[in-house]
Amino acid sequence: MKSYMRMRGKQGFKCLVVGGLALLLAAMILPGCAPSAPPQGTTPAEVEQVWVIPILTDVTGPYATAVSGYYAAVDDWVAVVNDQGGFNGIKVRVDWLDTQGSLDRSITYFNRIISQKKKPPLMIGWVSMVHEAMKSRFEEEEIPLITGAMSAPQFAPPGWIFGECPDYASVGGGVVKWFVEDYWPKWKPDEAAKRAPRVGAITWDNAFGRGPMTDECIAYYTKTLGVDWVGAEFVPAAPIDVSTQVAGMVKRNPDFIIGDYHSGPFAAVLKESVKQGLKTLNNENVLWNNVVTGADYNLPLLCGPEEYFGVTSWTMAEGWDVDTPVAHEIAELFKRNNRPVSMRLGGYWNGLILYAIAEGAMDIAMETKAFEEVTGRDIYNALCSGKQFDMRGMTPDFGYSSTRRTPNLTIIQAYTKEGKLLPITDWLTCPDLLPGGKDVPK
Amino acid sequence: MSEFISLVVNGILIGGVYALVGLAIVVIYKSSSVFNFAVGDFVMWGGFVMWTFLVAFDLPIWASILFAVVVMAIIGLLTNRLLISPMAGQPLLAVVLLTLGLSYLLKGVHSAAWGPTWKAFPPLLPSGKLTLGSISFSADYMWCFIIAMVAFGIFSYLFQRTRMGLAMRATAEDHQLARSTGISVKTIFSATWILAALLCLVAGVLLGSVNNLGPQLADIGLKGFPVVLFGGLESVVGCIVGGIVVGVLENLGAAYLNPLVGGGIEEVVPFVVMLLVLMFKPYGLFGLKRIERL
Amino acid sequence: MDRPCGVLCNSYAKDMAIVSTRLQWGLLVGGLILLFCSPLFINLQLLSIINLMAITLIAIQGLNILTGYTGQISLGQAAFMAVGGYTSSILATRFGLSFWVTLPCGALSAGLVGVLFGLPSLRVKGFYLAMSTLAAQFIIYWVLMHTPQLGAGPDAVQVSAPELGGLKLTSQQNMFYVIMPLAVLATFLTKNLVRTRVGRAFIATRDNDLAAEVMGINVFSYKLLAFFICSLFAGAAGALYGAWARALRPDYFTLMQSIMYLGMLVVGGIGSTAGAVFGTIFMVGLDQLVTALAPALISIAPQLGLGVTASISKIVFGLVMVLFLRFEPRGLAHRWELFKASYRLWPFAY
Repeated sequence: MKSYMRMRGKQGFKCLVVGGLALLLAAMILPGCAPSAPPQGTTPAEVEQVWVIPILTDVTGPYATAVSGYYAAVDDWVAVVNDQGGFNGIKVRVDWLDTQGSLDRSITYFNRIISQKKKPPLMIGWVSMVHEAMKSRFEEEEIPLITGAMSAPQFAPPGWIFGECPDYASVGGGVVKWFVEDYWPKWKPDEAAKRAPRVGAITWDNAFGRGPMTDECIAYYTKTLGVDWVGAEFVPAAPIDVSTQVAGMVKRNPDFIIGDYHSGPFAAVLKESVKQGLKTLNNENVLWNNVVTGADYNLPLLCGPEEYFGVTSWTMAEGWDVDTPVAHEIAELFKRNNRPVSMRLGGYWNGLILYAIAEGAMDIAMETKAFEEVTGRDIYNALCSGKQFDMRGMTPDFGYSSTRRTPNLTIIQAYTKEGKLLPITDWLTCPDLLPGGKDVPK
Repeated sequence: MSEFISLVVNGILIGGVYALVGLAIVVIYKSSSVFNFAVGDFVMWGGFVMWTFLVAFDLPIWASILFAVVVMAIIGLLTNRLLISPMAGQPLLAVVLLTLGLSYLLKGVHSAAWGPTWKAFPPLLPSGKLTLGSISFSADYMWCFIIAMVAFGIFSYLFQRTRMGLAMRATAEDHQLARSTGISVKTIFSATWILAALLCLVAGVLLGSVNNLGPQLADIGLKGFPVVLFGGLESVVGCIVGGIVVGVLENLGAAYLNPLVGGGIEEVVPFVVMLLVLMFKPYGLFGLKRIERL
Repeated sequence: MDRPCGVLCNSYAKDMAIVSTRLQWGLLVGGLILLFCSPLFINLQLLSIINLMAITLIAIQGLNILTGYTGQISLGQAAFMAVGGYTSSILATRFGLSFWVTLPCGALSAGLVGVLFGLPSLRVKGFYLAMSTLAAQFIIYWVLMHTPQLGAGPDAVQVSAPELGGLKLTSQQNMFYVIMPLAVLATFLTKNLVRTRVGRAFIATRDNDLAAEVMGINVFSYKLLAFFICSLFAGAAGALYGAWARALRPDYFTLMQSIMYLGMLVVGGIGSTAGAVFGTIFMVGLDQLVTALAPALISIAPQLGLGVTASISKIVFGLVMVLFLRFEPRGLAHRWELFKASYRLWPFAY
C-alpha cells in the first residue's frame, strides 16, 4: 500500500513536470504573438526611419538563371542610395525571400509581412509562378507589387500587380510586327513582293515558353499582320536532344522563328538549328529571335561567338556595350560590386527599373503624407495616378493608369556581333495583347 | 521513309548516352543491390567538375580529364564509404531513400558552388551535320555514341577479362561465397561506386559538350530509370538495348505524337512504355526472373 | 507498448487502447483544446505555417500507410495531390459545386488514379514499383501541363475560397478550422487503421509478402487498397492545398516535392503515426526556419553570397535526410519512445 502511495506521488510529480513544460512552451510562444510594445523614452523623430522593401525572388530554383541579375541590381543600388544618405533621408533595406518557386514559402512569408505592426507599403518581385497565385492576396491586404516577371494572368484583369514592361504575348506580337514591317521587306525584297513571310516558333514547354503562344497573339494578331503562321514546336524544360523539334521546324520552311527561353535551352536549340541547316552562319536563311526576358550575357558564349541570332528585350538591357550615359553608370555600378559576368543579364537593368518605379511611387505618395503614414493604398493611388516615372534612360519614361498594368510597351531588338549583344533598332512599340488589350483583334 | 530512318538513327545515337547513364545504375545494382537515384546528380557533377578544371582553372585538356577523374572517383568513393557501406543490413527501402536524400544534397551543394546559371562548355566534339544517303544526323551525337560505346567496351573488358571484374561478378553472384574465397567485398563495392561515378563523368562531359551545362542536366537521371527497367536491372547488354529503345521512342514520339497532343510527349513516352513493360514483362527484357522462397 | 507500472491491461481492448492512462487522456484533451484555441493567440505567420504543416501531414499520413505500413515506396505523392487539387477546383469552377462536395470528389479521384498506378504491384515490387509511381509523377504532370481545355495548363489556376453559410473562408484562422480537424482525423484514422484487420494485413505484407500470401492474405488487393488510401489522403491534401493557397499550378507538385515527403517520413520514423507528425513538423519547420534565416546569415557573413545562403535550405534538407537514415533510421518517433521510456523510469533508471 505504501509503495502504491509513493507511486501516486510520483504520478503527481509527473503531472507537475508536464504542466511545467506546457507552461514553458506557452511562455515561449506567447511573447512572439503579442504585439511588442513600442520602445519607451524615444520620440518618433529620434527613431531612424527605415524603408523595408520585401522582395520575392528566386535565388535558387528552376527559373533562377534568368533572375539572378535582379537582386544583385537592387542590392547594389540600395547600397548606393544609403551611402548618399538614404532616400529622402530614409534608410532603405531589402528583405528578400528565396521562394525557390514554392508557393508555400511565399504564403507564410507574406503572412509574416502582413502581421507586422505596419504593413509595408509595397513589395517587389519577379517570380510569376508565385505572383499569379497570390494576386488576390495583394488586393485583400492592399499591398501593391511591382514585378519584373511578366506572365499575363498577373495583369488581366487589373489588380494590385504592376508590371515594368510588356507581357510575354505582347512582346511576341511586337517582334513579329517588327519582322514583317521593318526587316522582311529590306531583307528579301524580291520575295517580300511575292509572298507573305512564314513565321514559326520553337519554344520552351513550360509556362514561360508558352507565354507568347496565346490565342490573342498567335491566332488573332499575327493573322492581321498578314503572316503565314507555320506552327510551334516545344522543347522540354531540360533539353538534352532537340534534334526532332528542329527537324520538325525545318520541314515547315520558315523565314523567321521566335521562341521564349532562358539562355541554356536557347543555345541548345540554336546550335542544333545551325547543324540542321535551318540557319547558316553569317548567311542567314532564317532569322532567329529569342523573346527572352533574362537575356543573358552568357548567350554569345553558350551559342558560340559567331554572329547568328537576335534577342528582343524591353530595356536597354542588351545595351551593356552601348555608349549611353546610363549604360556607363550601370557598368560602373556593376564593376564596383565585383559582380560575376554571369550576372550580366537583362535582369540587372530590370531590377534597377523596378527600384526606380518604387522610389517614384514613394515620392508621389510622400508629397501629401509623411513617410511613416504612407500605406499600400497611397502607393496604389500614386501608381495609378498616371504620372510618369523617371527611368533615367534605361527605358522610355512611362506611367500607369487605373486600368493599365503594363503601360511600358517598348521593346528593342539586339543582335550578336563578335560575341557582343548590340541593339539594332531604336525603341519599338509593341501591341498590347493582354487578354482584353486594346490591340487584340475582335 | 527517310525521315523515319533519320529519327531512328538519331534516337540510337542519343540512346548511347542514355545507356551510359543506365550502366552507371546497373553497375552498382548488380554488385550491391543498391539503386542509385542520385545518378543524374552525379552526371551533372561530372560535367561541372570537368568544366571547373577546363574553363575556370583553364587547364589543358589532359590535365582536366585527369583531375576530373580523380575528383569524381573520390566523390564516388566517399559516397560509398560514408553513406552506403554503413547501411549494410538496413532494409533496402532505407538505402533507396538514402540515395534520394543524397540527390537533394548534391543538388544543394552544386547550387552553392556553381550557382544556377548555365556554363559554356567548350565543344570537345566535332560539330556539324553528316549525311548518309537520305539520312542525316549530327556529328557530335555520333561521337557521343562512339565514345559511349568505347566506354562500354572498356567496362566490359574490365568486367569480363580482368581479375577485378571476376571479383565483381563473383560479388554480384553471392556476397558470402565471394567473401569466403578471399574477395574483399567492401573493396568491390567501392570499386563499383568509383566506376559508376566515372561513367557519369563521361556522360556529363559528353552532354555538356553538346548542349552546355546547366542545373537541369541532373534530369538525365530520369532518362536512366526507364533505360534500366527496359533492359532489366542486372543486365549490361540490356542497358544498351534499353538506352536505344528509349532514345528511339523519344524521337518518334516527338515527331509523330507531338503535333497531335500539343508538345512535350517525348518526356512521358518512355515512362508510359515503361509502365507497360512493368505490367507485362516485369523484370525487363534481359533481367533475371526472381524465384522467391519463404 | 510500455505502460507505467500499476496500469494493468487485463483485456485485449485495454491492451490495444491508444489512450490508456488518465494522464494521457488529460494531455490529449488538453492538447486538442490548446490546438484548437491556438488561432486566438498565435501570430499569423505561425498560423499559416501550422496550416501548411497540417495539409502536409494529411499527405504524409497517406504516404505512411503505403510506405510505412505496407512497404511500397511511392515517388508520386505530390502528383496525386495535384490530381485531388485540380479535380476539386475544376468541379468547383465548371459545375459550381461547393467545396464540401468537391473535396471528397477530389480525394476520390486521386484515390482511383493511385489505384491505376498501383496496378503494376501485381507483378513487381521494390524499385520496380517505385518506378511505376515515378512514372505517375511525370505522366500526371504532363497531363496537367497540356490540357488547358480541362481547365489546367501551365499557368496558375485561381481557386475560390471555400464558403460556409455565406462566409468566405479566406483568412488563415478560418482555414485553420477547415484543415486542422481533417488533419487530426487523418492521423486518428491512420492510427486506427493499423489496429484493424486491414492494417495487420498491410503490416504482414510489408514484413514478408510471401508469408502473408501463404497466410491467406490477398496481397495484391491489399496493396491496391493501400495505394487507394494513400492517394485518397493525398487527394484530400491537394484539395485543401488549393483552397488554402487559392491557386494551383503543376509546378507546385514536382518530383522534388514527392521526395521531400518521403524525407519527412524518414525523419519522423517510417511506420509510425506519431513519427509522421514529428517528421512533418520538424521538416516543414526547418525549411521555414532556414528560409527565414538566410537573409540574416548573409548580413552576418556577406562574403558567402546570396547563392550559397539560399542553397543552404536544400543542403540542410538533404543532409538531415541522409544523417537520419545513417544514424537514426527509426526516426524521431524512436527518440520519442526512448525519451518516454526514460521519463517513465525517472528518477530510478532501472
